[in-house]
Amino acid sequence: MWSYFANPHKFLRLSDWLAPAFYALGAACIAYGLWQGLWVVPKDEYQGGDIMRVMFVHVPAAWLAMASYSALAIASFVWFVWRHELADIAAKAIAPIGAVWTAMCLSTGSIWGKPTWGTWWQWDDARMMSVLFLFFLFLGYMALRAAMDSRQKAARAGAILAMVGAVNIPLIKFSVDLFTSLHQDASVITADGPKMAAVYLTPLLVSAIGHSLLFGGLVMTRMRTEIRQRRIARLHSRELEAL
Amino acid sequence: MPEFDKNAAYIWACYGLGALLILGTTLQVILAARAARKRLAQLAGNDTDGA
Amino acid sequence: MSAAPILAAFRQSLVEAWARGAGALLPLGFLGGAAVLVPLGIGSDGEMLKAVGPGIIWVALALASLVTLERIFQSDAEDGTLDLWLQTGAPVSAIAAAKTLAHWLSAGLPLALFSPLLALMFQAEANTALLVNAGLYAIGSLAFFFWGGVGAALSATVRRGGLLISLIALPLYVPTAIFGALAMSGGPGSAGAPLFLAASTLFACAVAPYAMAAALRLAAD
Repeated sequence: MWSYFANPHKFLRLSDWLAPAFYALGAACIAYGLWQGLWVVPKDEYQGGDIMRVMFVHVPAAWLAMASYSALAIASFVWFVWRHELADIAAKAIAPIGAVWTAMCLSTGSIWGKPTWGTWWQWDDARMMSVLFLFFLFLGYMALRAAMDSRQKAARAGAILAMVGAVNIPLIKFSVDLFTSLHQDASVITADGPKMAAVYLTPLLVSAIGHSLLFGGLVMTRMRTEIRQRRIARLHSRELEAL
Repeated sequence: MPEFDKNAAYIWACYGLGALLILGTTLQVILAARAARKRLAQLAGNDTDGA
Repeated sequence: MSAAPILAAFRQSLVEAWARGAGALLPLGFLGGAAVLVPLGIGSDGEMLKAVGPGIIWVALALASLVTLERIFQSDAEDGTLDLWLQTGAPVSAIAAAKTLAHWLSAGLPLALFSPLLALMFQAEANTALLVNAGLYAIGSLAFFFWGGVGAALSATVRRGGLLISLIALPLYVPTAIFGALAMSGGPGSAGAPLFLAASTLFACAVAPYAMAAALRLAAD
């Protein structure tokens, strides 16, 4: 069954309509979240007033940052074991988009932190630190792939690094949690979980779905570009051979 | 446009940053896809001409 | 399966470290230099130095590991020794582990043993805690060397790989840095931290050799 998904032609046919659908639905969900967040949702004095509206940008970005690294690690593992070229293409496509969303999470979180905690950065916060290291993992992955000579080497090196990183994430998370649980201040960004009222939770979930759909669309488009670029390279080398 | 309390600058900064990153990334991805498709069509066209 | 290639790799790395890098002297010099620079940079207030001392030593250990490891696989990849290692029947992971261990013995361990002197410079109190800390530095630096080895193996074929190693190794160094700092902080949580430190080092020693082997096979192709 999985070999079906390994076929680049089938992927191209699927993404022909799926990618635009993701973009459209994603944009619609994000627009809804935007409308709710900026105009409709009432401000909550307990959470700091209007500033908590930032959650509709920051929280989906955080979820996506972590989910996208998992996707990267899984794609890398699939490639490493079964050598489906599409899995490597997926991993390569995910990395820069994941890095962008991680940067979005870090920057909006920092801006949220300034009026809320009085500081742009808090070394004591477990989540901030974990996401920062996630950002480094993405950057390292991209830098390593770019430094390799050939596509095959880049795929292999990337897969090794992605899996080593994945295996270390629980350890990093655990150590950071332990570190910050001893120092943490009383106030924490709570704003999620079932204890949130529906008036906030619904736009948040819709925003998150919108971000995810958009992310998926972007990854699919990048994969299509990559497939085309590999074909271009093959045609180039065939041209050179024919000379 | 909605009026916010004292933290308006921070809120707009966040939404603006989010918009910039999302739109910028989408633009780059789509432009790169278009360029690749054009290049491939050119090359494939050359191929059939030459063959 | 003979252990000869593994022992040979071990011995060769030791000789290499002592011959080219003047053994422990270079990393020690680096560590000493860093230690001297820090009070010049951040001021000589005794209480502050006492507080940041352990952290500075951890950072210096991490940097020293990256500096010594940069070339350990690259020179082998360049002169063909790597292909020879792969042709022997011995598991590549064992060879990589042997080389890394040899470099730790010649650079990491001496630094850890030297740490009580550095700690005194950072206004630490002269008691048995210094010796305990030296042990903790030894355990932690072993993890630094093994994870750094993974970075070194992955960037073995890359020119100017030093920066890449650091970027790859940084997230992997985090647990050791955190548990090490916690263990020395003396506050709540420092009781269990040495165990976590040892556990994360064991994890590094168990996992890193296989990653290094995969990366070295890649470098040899």
